[in-house]
Amino acid sequence: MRAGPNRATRTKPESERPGHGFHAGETFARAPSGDCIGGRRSLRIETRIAGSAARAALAGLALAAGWLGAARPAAAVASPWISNPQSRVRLISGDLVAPQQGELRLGIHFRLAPGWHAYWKNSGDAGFAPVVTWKDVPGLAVPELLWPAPHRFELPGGLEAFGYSDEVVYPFRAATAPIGGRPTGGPAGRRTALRLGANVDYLVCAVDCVPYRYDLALDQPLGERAEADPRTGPLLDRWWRQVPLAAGRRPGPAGTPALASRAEMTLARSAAPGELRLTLRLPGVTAAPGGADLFFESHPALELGRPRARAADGGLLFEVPVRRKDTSMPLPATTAIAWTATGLKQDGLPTPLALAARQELAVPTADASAPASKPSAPGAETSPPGAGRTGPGRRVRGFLAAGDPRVVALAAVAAALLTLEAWGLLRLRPRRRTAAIADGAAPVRRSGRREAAGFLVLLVTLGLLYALSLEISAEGLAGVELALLAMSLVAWLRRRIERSGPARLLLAAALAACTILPPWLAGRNRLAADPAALRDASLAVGGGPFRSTTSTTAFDRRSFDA
Amino acid sequence: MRDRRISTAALFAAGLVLAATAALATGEVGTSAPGFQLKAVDGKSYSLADFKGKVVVLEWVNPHCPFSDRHAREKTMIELAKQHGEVVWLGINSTNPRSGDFETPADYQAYIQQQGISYPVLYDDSGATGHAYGARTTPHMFIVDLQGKIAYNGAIDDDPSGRKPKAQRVNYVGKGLDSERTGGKPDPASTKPYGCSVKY
Repeated sequence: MRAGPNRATRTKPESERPGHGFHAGETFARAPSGDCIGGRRSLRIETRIAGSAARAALAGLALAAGWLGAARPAAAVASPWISNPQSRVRLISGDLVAPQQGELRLGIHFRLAPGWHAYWKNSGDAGFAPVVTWKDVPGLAVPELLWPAPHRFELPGGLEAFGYSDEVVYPFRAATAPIGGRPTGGPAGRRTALRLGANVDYLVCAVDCVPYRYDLALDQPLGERAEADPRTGPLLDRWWRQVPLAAGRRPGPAGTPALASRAEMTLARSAAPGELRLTLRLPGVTAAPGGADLFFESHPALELGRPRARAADGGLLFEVPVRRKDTSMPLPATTAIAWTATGLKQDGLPTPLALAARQELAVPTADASAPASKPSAPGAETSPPGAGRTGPGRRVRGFLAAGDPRVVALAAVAAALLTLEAWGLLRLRPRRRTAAIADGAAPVRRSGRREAAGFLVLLVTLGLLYALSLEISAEGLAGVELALLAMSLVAWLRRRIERSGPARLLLAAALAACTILPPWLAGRNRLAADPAALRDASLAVGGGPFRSTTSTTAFDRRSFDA
Repeated sequence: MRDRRISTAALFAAGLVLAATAALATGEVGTSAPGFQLKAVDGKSYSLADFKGKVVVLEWVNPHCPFSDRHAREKTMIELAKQHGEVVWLGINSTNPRSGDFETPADYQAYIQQQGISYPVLYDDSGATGHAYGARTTPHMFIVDLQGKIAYNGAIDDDPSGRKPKAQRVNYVGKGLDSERTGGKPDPASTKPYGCSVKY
């Protein structure tokens, strides 16, 4: 059997397992006991001090610090790095000296090998989010993990992952408090340090994935007043600023209210059966140069697809296809959707902005795909005002409520092909015409009936294109029409080439490409569902009552520049 | 001749529509399980239609994936398949033959014997079956019920890192099969699968 990156993991005997699902060494590693020492002991590892004078000065400083009741290290408060071929990880504190009572900023700092990524709280299609388990420390609340704005990674097969590459610090917000428990040192009742320990369980992936687990620890000096660490403090600040702004929360250490925005989220039925359409409107922002993106936390009932962002009405509009995970069960009346928008640009802010919220939304009712729909009793149906009004547009939209724009585009392609066939432009073998010309006979005339059929099918094609225009953007429609035009041109050119050869083969390939392009364009350029229009369509086709729901969240935009 | 050409074009168009419809299926719970006919590592051919009227468990596998491999070593699926002898259990490997994770039948057979895997493992080289089900990870589990509909889609259990003792894990597939046995439905019917991405 060929050796793979993780092959060694399954050749080890059972007895070598360290009580974890993954083996030590390759896919599991635990720091040797006593190695993960930070704080003062880490000085010996991370700082090189030459000369006895320097050592004497340091000893004096340490004595002075001890006299003041605070242990003050002269370098980063961090655990040593633990390394593996794909990543390095350590525990850091943002404070040389943390307050006896107050906020404590911590972080799990990763450096990742090129091509490898670690995960956000929703890992995407594969992987899993890191799990950090803190050891109980008297007088320290369990630290809260704040997730920096993630990035999107494309994986083979159209899959995607959400996370971080190169470097990431997962910031943790903790709070020290007067202890009811035992002091960790110093004068009675006063602590001079906290020994912090965290078990980190994480997965790194490139194409392959490797899970690791480590114990990390550091000694956090305490004092009367907080003092930022000149090395890890700015690093932690930088990643803290990448934590999305949340409504009603103060995520940054130096945050000040600056701007306000309103996010409007809508969940509505889509044209495709069983599919919903989520739109998120963020007024007052544009996409930053790197591009805006939208991420969701995993949802128990809904599969939130890949978003598309576009500028609209002085802001950004995200459109997201949503599918039900379980079509056999009715959807709940309301649901909470947690989102994070990244790469947002706001005038006056020097760096891209990320926003996050959890919004409660009512779920559209009368889902046509729900299998357990009850037939209504005769006479029991109540028609809202306007329900009886129908028109061509509404009928077409009603028809489309049972279809997908990609299928409509495909049907348009099929109709166009039939038209070309009826007009003799799709002839597979050129021999007959060649032979006819060689025989001196006139080219075969198409019968009038057949040409008329071609025109009829062309009308169907145009009707389908009109239907498509209601569901996809103008750019998308233009693309579809150009593809159909190109298909006709290629068919015409192909017919003019008398002999089989590379040119005809090339044109056949181009013809095939032209048939694939319209459904793809329709899928990419699908419009967000217009709740009002869909309601009308729903009523016009007897789809029952429809509710489109909107939820708005106000944000306090803050500038984090200290 | 003319009629034949029109018929050919119509068939071609219908084929395109069918292909697109199949491409849109993503294995949601409650939908019909996409059919397949795949060749197993031992060379035998298996079709979902052969198991009509039986509960079928589909497990997406990749022996190079630490998660898939861990469950093979821990015999999570092997023991579960034994406990539920009434169920047809099929492993499916959708790894692209060009991927470094692809195993030849001989190597795969050796792995199967080494781990004591008792159920057929099928090759889905094109990835068509994986895409039809929306398989994303290894392992990614599906339960197909007696009516041929997808009854469960998601993870094998609630312990991605394998940190918990085996007895303390919630095995979603085990729970789902117990429900199926008593005429109920798996609850939860859908969870987030974890593991390596399928190497399409």
